[in-house]
Amino acid sequence: MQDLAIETNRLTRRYNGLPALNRVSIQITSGSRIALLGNNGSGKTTLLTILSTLLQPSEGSATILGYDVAKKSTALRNVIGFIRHQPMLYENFSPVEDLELFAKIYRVSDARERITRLLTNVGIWHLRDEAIGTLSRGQKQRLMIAKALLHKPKVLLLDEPEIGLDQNGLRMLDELILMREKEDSTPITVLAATHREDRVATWATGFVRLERGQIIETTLSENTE
Amino acid sequence: MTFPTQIEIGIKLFEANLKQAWRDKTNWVTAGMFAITALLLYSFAFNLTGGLVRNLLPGVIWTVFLFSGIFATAQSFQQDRQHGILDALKISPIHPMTIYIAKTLTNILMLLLIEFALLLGATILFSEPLFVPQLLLIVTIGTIGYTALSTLLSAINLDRDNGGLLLPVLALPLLVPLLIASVEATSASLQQEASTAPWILLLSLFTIWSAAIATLMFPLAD
Amino acid sequence: MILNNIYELRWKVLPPAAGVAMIGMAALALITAPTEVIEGDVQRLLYVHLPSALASYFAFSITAICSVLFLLKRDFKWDSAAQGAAIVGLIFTLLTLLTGSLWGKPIWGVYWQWDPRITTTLILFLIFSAYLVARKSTSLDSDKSARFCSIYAIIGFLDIPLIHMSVRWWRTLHPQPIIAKLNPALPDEMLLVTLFSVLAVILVAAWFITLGIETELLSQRLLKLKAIAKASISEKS
Repeated sequence: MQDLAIETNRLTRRYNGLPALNRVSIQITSGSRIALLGNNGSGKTTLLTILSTLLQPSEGSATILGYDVAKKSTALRNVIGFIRHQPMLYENFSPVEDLELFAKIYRVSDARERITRLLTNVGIWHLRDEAIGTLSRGQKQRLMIAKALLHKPKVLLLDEPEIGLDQNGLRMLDELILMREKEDSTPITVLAATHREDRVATWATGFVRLERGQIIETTLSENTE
Repeated sequence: MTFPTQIEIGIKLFEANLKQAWRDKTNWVTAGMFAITALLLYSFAFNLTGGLVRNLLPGVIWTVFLFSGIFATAQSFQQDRQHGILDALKISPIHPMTIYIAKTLTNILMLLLIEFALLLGATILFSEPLFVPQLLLIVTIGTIGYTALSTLLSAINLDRDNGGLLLPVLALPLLVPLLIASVEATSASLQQEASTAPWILLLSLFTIWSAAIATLMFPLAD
Repeated sequence: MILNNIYELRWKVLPPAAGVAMIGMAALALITAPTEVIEGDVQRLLYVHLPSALASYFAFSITAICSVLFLLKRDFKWDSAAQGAAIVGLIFTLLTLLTGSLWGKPIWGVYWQWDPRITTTLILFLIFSAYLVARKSTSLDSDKSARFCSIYAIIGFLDIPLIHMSVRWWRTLHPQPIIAKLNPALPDEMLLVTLFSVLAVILVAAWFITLGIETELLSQRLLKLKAIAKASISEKS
């Protein structure tokens, strides 16, 4: 049996009584690239935010690579990369400064080299010393991608990353995910919420569709209520 | 992650916070200007030009410090929250306590700058020897104390509905011991009384208590 | 659990016990207790004033303990309990301050003194009012709000002894001309009445606290049901 990268067990999250996520149970094996589909308010963001450890579940549990998400251990946080549509950047730093800080926090080896490579790959190397606040939405999003990949995460959680990216940007994202896989031998797992269902076939190995916090359709082999 | 590693990362984060504070000075400059404006206001309100200066000055100084300090610390977390930086740090391996300490130290440093500048100004305005080592020590200890608590309280965004007034309402009652000890210590120091030392001791105790409790409670606020 | 069983009995035991005790207290305080030599009948306010103060500490202790339990167990019933107890605590604190004022005017000539205990009581009132305002007014996710307010309640509660100490030191430096002793040594009969009054008021407080907790729990449930109803209506339309 393959390793499970992401597993949730009746994961529930309520806001003021109402469930945004309702007893969601999924199992995602390592190396999968799963698309998370559904309308606004279906619970995609909630699921991803809980998996990123930024939100506590109300009920149920979730593990990533065996680590319990609720415990938020350092080991767990080292292997997760998270991209969402709100940037998480220091507005008055330059891209290099921001990445350097987080490279130190994540204890990335050969940081300089890695930062150079990532910034070049996402296409903003020429903006490396500009204040982040002056960058466009798309440029910030590319920087977020570089930042999320900085510490070589094994699990990538993406919340509609295509927002703000043009065609080139989208292609770059796909390439980067594939490139990430070639970097070290361990398979990278991707769980990405997306609106662009037309593109799903190009990169995803499976999907989960949510509606009102529950799974209504999925290609994952085991999902139990 | 090991303790020494956290310290190393903490120092880096502290440096980053300072860099950030320096580059976006608006918040702190405004706090400084609020402090000066308030001081002037009190000068008129209590007629501080006359002989009453020595009696009222400690109280005036500390109320000014507390108000400007509390508003400034609220703002500093607010910006981090808006730009999603707090979240970026939370999903990283850094320990929440380290985030808190780095932030608090930055706030303390910036506030001390403002306060020392204000003391210098007040020395000139009121012809009172305010810029002296003992007083600066008292101000430093007191600032650590109230900044520790107000940084903790500003970690959660409660101010959306209240225009920022809720934070002082929450923080100030808790800070009564600090206010009393600071004012008495300052007053005793100005009059050069022997009782200065015990007040400084009391102030230090409260500051240690406040810093310890705030540091311990911050991870729970996550 | 034994505690659970006792808690179950609260509606059966507390109201009658509190009622009987209050009647007894009224009788004792107004009739049986001797009239104080110096202060006169006003002194009978002691039998409300002192127990109210103790009842408020009792209530706020429960708030603090429930806040700790909430942070440990993350079960919202503890958060509701903390709030319910806090409201009762505020009521009794207010009662303490009012009876103190009413007692003070004829005796000291003033409605207020900056005595350490009185001042600390006022600050206590402010702290837990702020707690409730913060807890109720925020439009934030109730999860965060509950956590934050629990922390605030704990810090506030722990701060009280420090506040009391510092105000006392402050007062020794700046004594007022009128120095009135609160609760001078009581003769035996008064002591007995006082003790009984404390018991009676604590019973009433306990009953009010359970009412407060229940109200909070129901109010949470109501909010949930409303949200669910609203959601299902918007689904159908």
